[in-house]
Amino acid sequence: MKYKSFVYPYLIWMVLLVIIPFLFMALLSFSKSTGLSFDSLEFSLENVKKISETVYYKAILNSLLYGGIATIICLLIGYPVAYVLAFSKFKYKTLALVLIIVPTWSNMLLRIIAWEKLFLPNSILNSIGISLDLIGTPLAVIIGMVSIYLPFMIFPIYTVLEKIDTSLIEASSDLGLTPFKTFLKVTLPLSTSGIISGIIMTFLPSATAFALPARLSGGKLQLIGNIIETQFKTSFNYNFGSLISLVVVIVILIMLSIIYRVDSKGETLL
Amino acid sequence: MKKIPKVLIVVFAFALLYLPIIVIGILSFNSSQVGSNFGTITARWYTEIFANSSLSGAIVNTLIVAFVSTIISTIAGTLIAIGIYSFRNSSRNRLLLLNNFPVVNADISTAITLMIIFSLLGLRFGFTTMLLSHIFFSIPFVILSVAPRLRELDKDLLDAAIDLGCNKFQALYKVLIPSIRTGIITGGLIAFTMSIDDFVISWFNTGNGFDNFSIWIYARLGRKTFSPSAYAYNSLVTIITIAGLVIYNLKTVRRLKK
Amino acid sequence: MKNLIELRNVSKTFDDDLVINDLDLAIRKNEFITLLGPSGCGKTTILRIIGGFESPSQGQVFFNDREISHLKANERNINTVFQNYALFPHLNVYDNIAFGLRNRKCKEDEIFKRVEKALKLVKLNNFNSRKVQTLSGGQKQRVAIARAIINEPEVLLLDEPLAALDLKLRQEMQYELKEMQRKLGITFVFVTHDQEEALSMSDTVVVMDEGVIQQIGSPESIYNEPKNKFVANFIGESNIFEGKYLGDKFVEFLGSKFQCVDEHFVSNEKVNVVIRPEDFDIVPLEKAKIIGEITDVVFRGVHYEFCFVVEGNEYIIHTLENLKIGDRIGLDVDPYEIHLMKWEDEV
Repeated sequence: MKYKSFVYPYLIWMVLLVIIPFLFMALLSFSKSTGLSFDSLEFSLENVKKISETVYYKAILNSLLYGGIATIICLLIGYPVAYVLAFSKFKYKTLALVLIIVPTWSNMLLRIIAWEKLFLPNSILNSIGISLDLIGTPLAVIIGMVSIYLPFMIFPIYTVLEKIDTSLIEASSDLGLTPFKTFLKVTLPLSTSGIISGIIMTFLPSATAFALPARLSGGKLQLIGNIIETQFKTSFNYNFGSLISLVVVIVILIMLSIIYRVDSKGETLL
Repeated sequence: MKKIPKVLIVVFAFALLYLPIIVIGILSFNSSQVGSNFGTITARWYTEIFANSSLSGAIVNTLIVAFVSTIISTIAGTLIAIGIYSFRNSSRNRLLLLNNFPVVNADISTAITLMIIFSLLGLRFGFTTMLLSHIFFSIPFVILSVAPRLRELDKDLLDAAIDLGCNKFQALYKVLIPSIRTGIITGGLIAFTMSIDDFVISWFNTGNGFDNFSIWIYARLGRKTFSPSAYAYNSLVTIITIAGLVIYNLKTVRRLKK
Repeated sequence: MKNLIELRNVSKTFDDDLVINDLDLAIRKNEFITLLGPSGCGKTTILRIIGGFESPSQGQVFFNDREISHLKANERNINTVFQNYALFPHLNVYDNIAFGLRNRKCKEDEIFKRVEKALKLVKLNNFNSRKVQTLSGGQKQRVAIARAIINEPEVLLLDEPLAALDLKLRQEMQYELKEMQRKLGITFVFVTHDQEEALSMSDTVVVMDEGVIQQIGSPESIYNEPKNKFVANFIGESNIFEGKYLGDKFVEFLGSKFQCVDEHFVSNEKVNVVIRPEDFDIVPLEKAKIIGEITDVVFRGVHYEFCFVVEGNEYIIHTLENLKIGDRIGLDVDPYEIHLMKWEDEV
């Protein structure tokens, strides 16, 4: 095909909107300045030192912790759901899959508010005799995360499971394996790329969320997203904010490169 | 595997997913503005959606940005994907990998980088910056949708078109684009969806009072200026979408039966 | 000889489709038996019922006199070679072949020996660490066979295993499979729609159509003594004439009296007369009992195939003689090459 020239504008676009800002952010991270001007730029490692401050240090750990737990729960719920749907002979199973995605079209902030209202002691649940007082608890944040990001775990796993040739399952049975063993030795290994996709699509957004932890923890929990938001919108400390953002990006790049090494055909992310 | 636990976990998942949706629906009919207890049932929030000027303004802004960014990113994404597939395998994979980056990058990270470059370029924050940022994050998804179709395509298709007298551009819109139509449509739908509900990226890349729906909500969380009409609007959209899907699905199933 | 496998009164329905109709089948030890028939005749379904991937809607399946009708596939001492090989893409050749043994907790050095032996049997020595995706169709085929037989099943089921191979390779594999079966001494149940394949490999051929067994017999008896029109037409090519049995090993068709060898008919009974295209003898026109005119010719390498017309109907003859369209041709047939079948209406 002869349309190579279509790509060049995109490369320029990406350089402009991705590479240049990153370089600038790297610059900002290791310097101190006022705002975004180059005027009083001087090299400094004070931002790096700032990370070791408890607040920020804890925020990073909490992001990993909460994101990690939410992802694991999504996996524990999502894999069975994807499995049941993929292997069922239910006539409307595509519809069921679509219905799993539909909630993601509902505004995320409203869904967060909905959970917030349910977790308050004074809520519509009172009418059926239940009163929850969960705002501020880790449980509330986790439930919120799972509720929002579960479809992103289910979908890639479903896609991969659907593609598994049934004759492979039959062959395994033919060779003497029980259904459970077949799952362990054939289905599960063949669904790894879906699991990895699901984990990425769940962990990344949940670890870097800020509206969700802000509302469901009553402002008590600070995740890395909250830190970044504060630095850029409130404290206007672009230098420190840039550093934290860079840390996030580097972690993501590391994850991507691990995946690339394991699966060079690029199947995982498609 | 026994049947009961199987269905149970699917039901549990659906409950987890739809509980907030149901709550939003209930709150949309709840006369109490704060929404923590039951007032009376009312449809007032629905009728007031467009009476509330800041809300309706935000909704209109959201739709405009969504439509424009979808059209632009779909066209651009399709052409770029075609461009990517004009390269050989090794370059092609590297380009696709580069394209994947905005997809996996965290929302907030993308938001910040865009905000920085827009500031450096001296752009006025508002509709333009929001639009540009939406186009930025939509194009990779369009490319991801179109790419598989391009991969399955018959390599001889374009040669056949040229053999029959088309020049490069006629071959493009008469042959190539129609054959990848499903990928383009899917890509467009994904782009639209992502734009309609975007919060984080828009939040950092707007200004001068140009709010979209999500920003409107966030700015009024826990405040008196919040109106349950937002719930009403959201529920309407959800129901229309579900209805549309169910009808489409049933029609397809019925057509297949014939 | 006790039967290894028996199907009694087996029927199978899918949705509203009756795919197998009250079928009885006995399979013996150390037999190479082929289920032969057109697409949709039910042969693969029978294979899957024997293998345990489907349960009969009605009837029973016996294995060594034990009923296994509803026993799951992983509990039967039967292994299958699937049509599209079904090799596990996430495992290499060695691990694919070792799969069944590993599950039985065989020791690794024992597994190593047996895999080596299996690879040797299918002529794929040193393929151990090859990835499945790098194999050709024929190689995948052999790995699939090795993976199945290493488990020493009493019966090997093969579901059109050679369908995806090109002609030369297919013929090679036919020969090798036959050799393998002889060496291993186990029963092979083979499914195919290719009648040449069936005839060349089998001890017994089961011809099926529409869920019903049409005929069971050795390849020779199926070929030479087809029981009905379907078998006569499906196996090889045949010419079928309307005739009348005259009694005393004489039959009349095409206006002449022919001596024959069948005698299981009643005098003046209507019969169908089957003559294979290669069984006609070309004789001088004056001595000919059948006279026809050549209307078409196809060169088949091995012989010529001519269409000729007698009394308005077209028939086929295979011969080495080089005739031309328009030629008049005189034919006769030896008595033992005239085969009679029960009269059937045109289907």
